[in-house]
Amino acid sequence: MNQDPLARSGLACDRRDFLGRLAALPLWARGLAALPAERAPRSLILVWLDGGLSHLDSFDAKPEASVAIRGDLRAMRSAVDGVWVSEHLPELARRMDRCALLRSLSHGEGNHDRGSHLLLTGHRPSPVLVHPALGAVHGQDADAVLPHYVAIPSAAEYAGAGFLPATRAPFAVGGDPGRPEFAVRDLHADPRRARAHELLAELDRLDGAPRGEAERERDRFQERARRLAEDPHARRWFDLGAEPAATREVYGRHRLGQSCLLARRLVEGGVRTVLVHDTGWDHHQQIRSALTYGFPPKLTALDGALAALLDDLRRRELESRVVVCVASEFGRTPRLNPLGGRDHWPRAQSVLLFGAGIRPGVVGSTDARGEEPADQPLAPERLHATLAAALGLDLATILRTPDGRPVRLVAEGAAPIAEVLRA
Amino acid sequence: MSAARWLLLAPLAGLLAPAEDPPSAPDFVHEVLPHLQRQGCASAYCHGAATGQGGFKLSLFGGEPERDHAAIAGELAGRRVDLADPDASLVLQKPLGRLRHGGGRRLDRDGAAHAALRAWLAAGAPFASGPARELVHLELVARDGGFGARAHFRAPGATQGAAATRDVSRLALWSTTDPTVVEVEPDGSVQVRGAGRAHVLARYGRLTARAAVEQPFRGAGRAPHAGAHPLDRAWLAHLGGLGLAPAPAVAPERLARRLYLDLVGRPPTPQELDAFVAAPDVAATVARLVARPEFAAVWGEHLARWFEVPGPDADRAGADAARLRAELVALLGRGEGLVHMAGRIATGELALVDRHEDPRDRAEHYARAVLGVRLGCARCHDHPQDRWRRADHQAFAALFARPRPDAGGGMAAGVLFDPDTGAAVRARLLPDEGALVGAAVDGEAPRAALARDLAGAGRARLARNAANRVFALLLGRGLVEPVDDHRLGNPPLDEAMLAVLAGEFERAGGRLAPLLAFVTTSRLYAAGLAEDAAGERWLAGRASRPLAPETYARAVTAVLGPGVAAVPAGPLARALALRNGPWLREALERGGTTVDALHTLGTTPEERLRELWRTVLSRAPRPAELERFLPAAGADLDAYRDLAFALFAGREFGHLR
Repeated sequence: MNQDPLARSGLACDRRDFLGRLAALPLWARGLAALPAERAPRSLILVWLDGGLSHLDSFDAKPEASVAIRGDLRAMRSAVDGVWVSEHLPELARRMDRCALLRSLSHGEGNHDRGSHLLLTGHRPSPVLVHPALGAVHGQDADAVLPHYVAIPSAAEYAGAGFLPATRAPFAVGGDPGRPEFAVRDLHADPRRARAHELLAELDRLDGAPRGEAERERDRFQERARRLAEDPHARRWFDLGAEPAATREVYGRHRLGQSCLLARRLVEGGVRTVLVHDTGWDHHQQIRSALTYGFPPKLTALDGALAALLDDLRRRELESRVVVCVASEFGRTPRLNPLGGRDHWPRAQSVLLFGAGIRPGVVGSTDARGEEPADQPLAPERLHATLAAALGLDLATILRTPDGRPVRLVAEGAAPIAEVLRA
Repeated sequence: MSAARWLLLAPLAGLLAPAEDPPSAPDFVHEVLPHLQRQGCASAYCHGAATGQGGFKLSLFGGEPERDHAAIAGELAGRRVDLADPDASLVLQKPLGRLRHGGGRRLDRDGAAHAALRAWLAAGAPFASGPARELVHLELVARDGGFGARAHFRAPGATQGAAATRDVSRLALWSTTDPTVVEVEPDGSVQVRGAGRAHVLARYGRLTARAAVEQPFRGAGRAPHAGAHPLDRAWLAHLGGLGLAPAPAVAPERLARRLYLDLVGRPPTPQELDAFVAAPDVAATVARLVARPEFAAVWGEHLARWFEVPGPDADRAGADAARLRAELVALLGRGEGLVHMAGRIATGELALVDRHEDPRDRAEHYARAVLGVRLGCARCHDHPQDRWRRADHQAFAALFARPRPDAGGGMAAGVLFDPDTGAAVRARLLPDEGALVGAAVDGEAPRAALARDLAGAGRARLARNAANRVFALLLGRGLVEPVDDHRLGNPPLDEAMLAVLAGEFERAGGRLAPLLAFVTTSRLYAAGLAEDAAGERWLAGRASRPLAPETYARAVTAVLGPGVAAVPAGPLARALALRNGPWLREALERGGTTVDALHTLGTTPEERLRELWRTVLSRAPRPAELERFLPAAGADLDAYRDLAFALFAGREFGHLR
């Protein structure tokens, strides 16, 4: 009954195929970049703005609305005619013609937990089941060195394995990539421990064959840890220090910038999903200062990091292999509250997409006050379906819960948003 | 496989009488709707979907017959039915494949479903026909080559007198808990497909009945000598029926390691190990261990997980969670029984479920933790193979509505309103086995009624839930899995074993220590690892299981001396932390550990090696290990620490075998 829920879903086969070709490549080339674009599996970078990005202060500026709505932040024209974004996103504004902007995402889950579950898993929260995030489903190489799913620095609640086995959960790098001394934890073997590791390998060998599935699984991860520690090429994908200083500057020497850079390195190395988990977007008070002051200001950091990622993916010819999605659990109230903040607002939010399989353009709009979709309301389930389609997943995939219940990968009736997918 | 070999395990009613004649005008609820169920029309992927399908919506799994009748016979001015010309009705034309139907062809012109639907249309598509009757009982009966399903009906409200029975084998929805063991045809006949035990389930109306089918692995079992332990008698009977042999018992060293890790979260010291090996008295050892403070700490954590207290690292755990955990540890330390604890949870004295705002969340949490049942599905819809209806869920949730101030300055019972009708819901307990509705709770504090129920009908559920959870904590798996999902459609691995455990829970008055002693003194607890996957699945032996991160840290700390932090939970993060991380290395290099002491005390390399093995792995080194690791044990302290590192990070230490 309890076999690998993915093996039975039909997800496994195309990766086997991929692995077969991968094994033939020299070690140094075992990155995604070494495969022909049309056949390479795609990766996802999900930039998760935890707390709820204010759509009015970012991608859905309303320059003509009253000050009680638009706030004191001004808007600027973008590279796409008639599309205004926050004046604090100038770099993205210049590149808007390379992005898909969904402006009419709308749902009914106004608290962080429930909204996160919906956006991250593509399923409404259920009292009996936590669904897996897309990253837990995508990627299946049992003997790859790099994990299929990495969270920088740690997973958001509901960005995990859900009802799938814990082995599908993301590997959390920990720490703060924005700090100069940052290193992914526990990757480097202490040379003074070489003898200890040798003894460990001997001990496990003399212990004989692993007893049962739990021990086999432990051995697989032990082996992966060993290869990461011993294979400098594999480990290098985790190493921000290998990037030229200029590149690190462009992304921005702060948590979000360096997280996005690390994400780019990891997908280049073959990681299928990277969650960039950026916290602190829950601005109930003084949203203006919260977004535009600080070192660096939050919007400026977002602008610089995403623009750098956009350019970098193109320069490295990863644009056709990596899907990027920038989202959060909901938007924020169009009317400023008495504390100068904005509260939770699930009825309208903006989501930015670019990269592989994504057709640039603006989809949907909100009314003059940014309260409700004015046209084409989009359910988060459809965003999930869109990402799954952009990644090349089979939308009809059925996952299995531990007790054998079939659960759709994509919620019932949720069609991908055709306008943002390249034919 | 020959049909003669399989065994029916449940006591079944006598052979089916020749089929009774169905009433001339089929009744919608009892004769038409079941056919729609069987064709899958009302499944979640078809017309039972929240938005229906193709503009036609049925209630999921037929939970609301009145609405379904209206949807078929009333909507679109009756366009779906044509009473003058039944054959022209859309409800026949589409599933027969004569008109375009997204679900494809579902009805066979010569089939019983078509005949029933057609007869019903010809009779004017009534909601009910004949004398009013209510389905009160469903049972399976043995039949050549399989099962029959027999329904019992009474006049609504009647409790006396003989019930009318009817063969509903061709109306019931048949399924099996394991198609690799047995497959069931739409008429209840079965095909045995492989060895094992599975249940055949029939659903009709809102009732489900089940029967077990068993196919032994290696010919009929010769039951080995069962001994006196009641759990072992049930276990060996279970294995005997399946033709499986129990795994041999482990050596006393391994048994001691299991007992210490299970009860106090650490391996035995070499002295404790010697004492146990010299006189392997499990009962006396358990009595000593449960009196230790570590026992309350370890099992307090188990209870906290069982009762779903947020973990210390949960996002929004807060001080309440920490207080609750401390309270559970204190209660266990005082030897308080699980029945009393459950009573405190029921009344809210132990504020476990009360942290949820929504009474429905409280009700579901209580049901999972205390009663071992999942009500969650019934929040939205009635569910097949589950007896809880949405009405049961609402009525039970109403017990948990927050009390509100009354006019007299006191507190009145809270009220839950039905989201559909806006009416106040009458609070009820969950229905007892065999009852259709639960006892109403009026004029009494609802939570007190809940606690009182734990002395009555709720007690059996608590006993089975607690017995199964304790068993799962000791053996690494529950007889019912998942452990909070006791229901007819999810039978235990072996009913007799669960009954023995639940009986023991009662005899122990719900106290944990006697129940632990009962399980750990069994031959089953001492069984070695199962030979193969089938042996693991059917519990012929144990499965090796990884130590939980906190158990791992606790065990390392207990052996080493200085405290170490819990290792990360993710499998790769854990492997990396063990290998490269600072926590174990620093603890070893800090000095002053048991490992350093052993290095100093041992006089010969072999003695040092033996002591290290006994201390960390609770066993003597094997000859190959002696040979290979003697040089490291004979070298300096640094090499000895490396050896200790390898033992702690190794596969064996990380698993309970």
